[in-house]
Amino acid sequence: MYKITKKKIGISSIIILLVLMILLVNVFDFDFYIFRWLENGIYNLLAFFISTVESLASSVENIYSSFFRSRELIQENYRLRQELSELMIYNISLKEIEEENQRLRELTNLEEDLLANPTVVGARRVGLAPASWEKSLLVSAGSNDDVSERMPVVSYGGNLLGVVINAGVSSSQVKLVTDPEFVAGARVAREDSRALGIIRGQPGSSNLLLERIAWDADIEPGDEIVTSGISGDFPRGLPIGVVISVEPASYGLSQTAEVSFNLESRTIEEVLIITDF
Amino acid sequence: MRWQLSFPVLIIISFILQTTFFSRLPAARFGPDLLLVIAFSAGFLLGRRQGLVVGFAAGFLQDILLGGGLGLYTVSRMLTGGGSSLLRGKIYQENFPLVTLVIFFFTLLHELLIFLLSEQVIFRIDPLTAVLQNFLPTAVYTMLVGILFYLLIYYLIAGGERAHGK
Repeated sequence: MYKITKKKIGISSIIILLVLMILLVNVFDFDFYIFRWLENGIYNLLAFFISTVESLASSVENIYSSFFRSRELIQENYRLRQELSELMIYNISLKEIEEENQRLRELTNLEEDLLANPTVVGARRVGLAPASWEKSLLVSAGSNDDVSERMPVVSYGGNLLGVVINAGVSSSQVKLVTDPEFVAGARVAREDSRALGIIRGQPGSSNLLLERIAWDADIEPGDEIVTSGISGDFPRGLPIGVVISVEPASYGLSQTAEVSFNLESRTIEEVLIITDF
Repeated sequence: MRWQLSFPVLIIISFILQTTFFSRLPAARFGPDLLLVIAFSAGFLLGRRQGLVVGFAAGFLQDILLGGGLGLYTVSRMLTGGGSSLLRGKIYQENFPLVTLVIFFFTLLHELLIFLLSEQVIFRIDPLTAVLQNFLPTAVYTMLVGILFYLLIYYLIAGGERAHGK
């Protein structure tokens, strides 16, 4: 016969308490300071191990490469790629200014909120967090580099990559645009169309969805999608992707567009975190 | 080596492998889910308590790495560790082909659980598409790589055939 012992009651109580805590934290968004403190500590420790191994692996890879190309060339290449990404962002802002100037000829009192002089921090990819559906990247810059939560992250060509969701001491976690929970304001970057929508990641797909587009908005395959900057969380005009197809949604009350993401998260090596814009 | 020492080391190594090495491979989005194999092996080879503890540790670390902490994976890994202990005595631990198949089914069940509990996923993808494009490739990949990890744990941590009087 099944016996109820003190030990079994103890284990069951711990499990019930644990499940209750998980429910409180996740469903009701309770924030326990002790948990946050513990999580940050463990995260920093874990990130240290991962960063060390990744650094070692990169070093070995660089040494191997130096047999064929000089080490200086690799470093120069790394620096130039960072500079190129920075210049791309400046280029985007200039393009935006040009377009804005055109519209200002017709309009007045338009508030300027472009990505004019962004402060960026360069970081290396450390790894991709293991998960079934969530997509987040670990990068080698943290609070020591003035990185904090909700900062936008871009990569090659100034393309939007994601947002910082947790900043450790020397590394941070970046939620990728392709994550099902990622949401950002976006719009069509065409001279004669400024159609607005909400860009979201799709589960099980590397393509994105641009939702809540007005039913009569002018949007078609091939249109470039950039951040709208309306929410203030992201600078305006960061490239995201290109429209593949457009379909009516909500019984014709709105439109939804499938957008191909400009970046491939698996091959990204360097990122830029926009600390101020 | 005592399991209290060896499993934390194994969890850290698996984490590093999954976040760095396997994430660079073309099939990165399908895993392999090494942490599931570790939780499964702990429960199946050592017992329910070990399975629950190792499952909790692996899941908690994974949730932290995903920016959460005490979340979905803490529960799912604990269930995996606890669930696999129920098979002790019913399946021979050294019957590797059968264990490989069991890992496959445990991965499928785990993926299904995560799918059902992910509110941002469940209503946005067709279940059949999820099964064909995510669950099955993940389960096959985890099964193939996971059996190697199981063998490692079986021989190095659980004592292998010596522990079973062979």
